[in-house]
Amino acid sequence: MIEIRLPDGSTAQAWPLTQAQRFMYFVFNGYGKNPAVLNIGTGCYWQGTFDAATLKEALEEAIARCDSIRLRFMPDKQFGLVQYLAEDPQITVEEYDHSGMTEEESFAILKEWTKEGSADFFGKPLNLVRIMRLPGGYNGFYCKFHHLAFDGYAAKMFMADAMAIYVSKRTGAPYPKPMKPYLEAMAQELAYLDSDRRKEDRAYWMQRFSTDSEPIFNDYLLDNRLVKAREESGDPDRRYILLFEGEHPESRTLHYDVSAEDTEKVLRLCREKGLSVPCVLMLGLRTALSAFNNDQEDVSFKFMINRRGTLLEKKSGGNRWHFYSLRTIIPGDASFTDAVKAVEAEQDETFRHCAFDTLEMYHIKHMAMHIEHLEQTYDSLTFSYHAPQPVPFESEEIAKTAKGIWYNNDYSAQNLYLTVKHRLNDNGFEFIFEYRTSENPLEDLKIFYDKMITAIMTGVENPDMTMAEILEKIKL
Amino acid sequence: MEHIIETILNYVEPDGEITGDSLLKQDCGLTSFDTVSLYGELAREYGVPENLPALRRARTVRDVYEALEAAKANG
Repeated sequence: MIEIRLPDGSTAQAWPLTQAQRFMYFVFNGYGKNPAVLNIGTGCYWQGTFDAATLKEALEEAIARCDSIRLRFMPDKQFGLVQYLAEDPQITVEEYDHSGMTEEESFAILKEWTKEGSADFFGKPLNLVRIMRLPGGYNGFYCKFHHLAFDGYAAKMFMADAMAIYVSKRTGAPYPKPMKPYLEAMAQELAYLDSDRRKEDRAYWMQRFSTDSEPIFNDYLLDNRLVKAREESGDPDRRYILLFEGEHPESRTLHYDVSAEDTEKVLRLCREKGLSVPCVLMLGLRTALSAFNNDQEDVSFKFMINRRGTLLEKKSGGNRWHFYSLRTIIPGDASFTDAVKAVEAEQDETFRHCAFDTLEMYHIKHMAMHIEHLEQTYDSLTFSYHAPQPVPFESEEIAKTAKGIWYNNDYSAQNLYLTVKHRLNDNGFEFIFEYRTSENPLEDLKIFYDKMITAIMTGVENPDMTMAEILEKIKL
Repeated sequence: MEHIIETILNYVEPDGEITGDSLLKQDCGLTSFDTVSLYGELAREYGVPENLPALRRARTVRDVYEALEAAKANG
């Protein structure tokens, strides 16, 4: 802990960034310091009874209970950037009425809010919360969170807490249990840096990268970049491509909704067989990649790890996301069920060592595998799964109308980022592909999604079917 | 067993009571990440490896308790 001087001349206790924050700040600096990269825009809306005055009270109480909404950052000579908690969140919950606009007009304004920001965010409040009256009789609230202070999980936790307070005030339901202190969770993260566990995790990754065989790049584009890289380099055995992720970060999103019935089929199989839902989804993803790459059995992609196990980790806000490669080699004669278990085994093995910094992990990977180029990669895309987080509403009827919206900031730090989450009103899956427009992969992504969801549903309906049989069904 | 239940309650806030028969995923609401973290914490306390096959197979709180006790007894 150090003492810093703030812009108004006062002093504050400050701490270095955690590993996850350092990665996020690295991403920000790598993309032309575009502030939109660090914005998370989201909203929670419903139709029916709406009590704006009570919602304002609930949001103010949720803000007061959430430490990380007060997080601010200052440059520092020793640490580069440090964090501190301001005493006052300086968030005024104002009401905005878009009810007279078209849906498109309103959505465009909310997207613009999500993109707004300054690269000079030092010492300033970073988050905002607004009550919204939207077209179509939808009402609720919009939030913009800074990615150094929140990740998607923390954002959803804040929104669920605000709704639980609102519902408690409206219906007399029990007031939600307290949130947890951010500084305690942050202190645990920083303590890890000097711990034996970190030394063990470092040794683990060093050992794995030194002894594992070389992975192979699997593309989601039909015009396969590995084939091109092999031709251009004259090396027919090349297994990687050079991906310049810093260039052209402009992005858009492609959404697909899976019906509540089909989603329930996936969830039911997982309940009955004790399988992990994200691992079923990741198996679908790797099967689609396999199909796009001549039924390749060796498939890698990046996946986001929430790193929230204990209640302290879950309820203290902040950003805890780490990104790791998930590599599996699954033979064609493996059953769908066994293949899910293989993905889960690799996922769990990564979980055991994922407190280790993402940036340091890549450094070690490059060192251990003698990788020459910074841009060398075996992962064509990144996957993240957002488990359903119960958000209470005043009545079942209102809950059926609820929708949670994530507003794309139109800048992506990665070429392709697939998020799967659950709809608020019926728990159905939403697949959101955030893609770089420079690659223009829209047509390929439509085919890719079709292969992925077909692989998932075929496997869920036929859990003993072999992966070779599933691949045959989704053949290009 | 009480200690295992107390530790689980550091990870989740279930609606109902947790007993030895509670299912880790369905009743306790533990996710894969929760489970890996929980097993890591308990294994360190018991002085046993955290990726025990019996822990990987565990479906109930009692399964976890028995897996840890057996591993500890076997040294």
